[in-house]
Amino acid sequence: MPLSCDEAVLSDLLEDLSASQPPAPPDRYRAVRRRAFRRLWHQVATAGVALAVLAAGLTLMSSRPPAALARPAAAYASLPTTKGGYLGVYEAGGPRSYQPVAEFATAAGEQPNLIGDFTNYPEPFPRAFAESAHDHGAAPLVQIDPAGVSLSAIAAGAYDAQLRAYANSVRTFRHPVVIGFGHDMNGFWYSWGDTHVSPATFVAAWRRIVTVFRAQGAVNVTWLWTVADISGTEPLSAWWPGSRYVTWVGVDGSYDLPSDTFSSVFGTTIDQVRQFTRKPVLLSQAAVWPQVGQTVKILDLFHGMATYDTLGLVWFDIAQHSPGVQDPRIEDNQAAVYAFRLGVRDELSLVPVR
Amino acid sequence: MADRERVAFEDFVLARGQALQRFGYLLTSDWALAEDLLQTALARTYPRWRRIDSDNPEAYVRKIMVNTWSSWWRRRWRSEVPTESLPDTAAGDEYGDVDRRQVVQAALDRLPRRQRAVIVLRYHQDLSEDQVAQLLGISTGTVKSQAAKALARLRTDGALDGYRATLLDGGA
Repeated sequence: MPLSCDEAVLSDLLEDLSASQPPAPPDRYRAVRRRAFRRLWHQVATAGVALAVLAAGLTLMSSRPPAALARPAAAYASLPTTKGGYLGVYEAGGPRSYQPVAEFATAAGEQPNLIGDFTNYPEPFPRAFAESAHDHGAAPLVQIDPAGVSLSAIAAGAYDAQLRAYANSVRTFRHPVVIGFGHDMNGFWYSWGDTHVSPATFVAAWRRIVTVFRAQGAVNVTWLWTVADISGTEPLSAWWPGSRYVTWVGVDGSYDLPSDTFSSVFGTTIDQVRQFTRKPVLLSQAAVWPQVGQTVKILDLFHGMATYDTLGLVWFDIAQHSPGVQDPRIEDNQAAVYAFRLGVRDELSLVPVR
Repeated sequence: MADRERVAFEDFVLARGQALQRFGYLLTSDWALAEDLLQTALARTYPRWRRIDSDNPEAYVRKIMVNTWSSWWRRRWRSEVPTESLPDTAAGDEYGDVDRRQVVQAALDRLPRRQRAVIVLRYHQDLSEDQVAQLLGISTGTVKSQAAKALARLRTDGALDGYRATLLDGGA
């Protein structure tokens, strides 16, 4: 059973509450600690409990507030959640060549700090792509698309071996990695999405993946739960895996019509997301099709991105080879380049991601 | 206990201790008590470490934590007189993060013990209704009804509304 909106909100609230810092006054705290210590010591003496409990316990006690515990052999790199801190890009052939990204960077006037790649499932972690992104001061954003793969099989653990290998590769990379799984699942157009897979199955698969990664110590992953800017047959909250399984929320959207505005493209979806979670939002795939008037819409996009307090945007800079003019690349339109550069300059302040 | 098992136990405490302590906090609303609860559960777990299902020691520790907490509660209920009810938070306040947490915590504190356990296990620990039933030793139907009652109560208390208002006001 997928969670209702209220249940998802509650889950998020509990997580938020449990992450709060303990405000206990020091004196009282010491008294309780002493009591706990005495109780523990009593157990050690009477039950013959070995020193390990004591050692482990002391580690815990001394780690107040409880945010300071270390997991063994884990990679810790994480990304700051700075509003307007990210500019990302998807390029055709991103993993194979940095050249298109360099051209985009020239046009945008900034080196992007996120570089996106769409991969199939199960494929190994695109390590060379990740290294290349890192060498250029960016974090890799890997969208894993489970095309034609059974999500219930993933949830049931049939892919655990591959996931462990993937997670180990990510962990040994050691730098921040953004990973999305089954993007646009609330849309009907993918085999892993709405009407093909139930929200409960999607959620179970997502949680399985995150759990396996954590067990492998791959905690350098920023989990990007990515939805499309549409209303599907299910409420968005039905697809929500829970706040402990998600780091950022991604919203994919594009200006398709001349009447589109930030509010109609991204705004309504962001409002829905904020009904059940406070996680930071990234415009994880943003495009403006040329026929709707790129220049004005690009300015609107950047303005909305800032107004809605998002992390930034990932530009979809890939020409579509379908009938009609479908080329959102800014490099092919000088006016779009100016608008984009203006947006980057005025609305973004990129954070270092190393 | 063999060294290998001792190391496994320490790894477990290091990896999961913080999460379990947070779980304890949601039950007790008190960091010191949460730590006390966890220590007690770990001390009881350690001698049985070898026999515990190695795939899921966390479930075992969690169960001891809930049972221990229940027994504390019973003890206190008999020996202590409850203090005055918690301060009511006026509706329409602008909640900051801290205020919101206080509202949620106060709402949790007002829940009956079993409802609170169901809520935390179901919505924070992400256990299924069946798993919660098994852990608490009650029927799945009871888990469902307790969760529904608790949710209704949290709605009435306005804990969920205040949170939404904060979000829509633009609090990221």
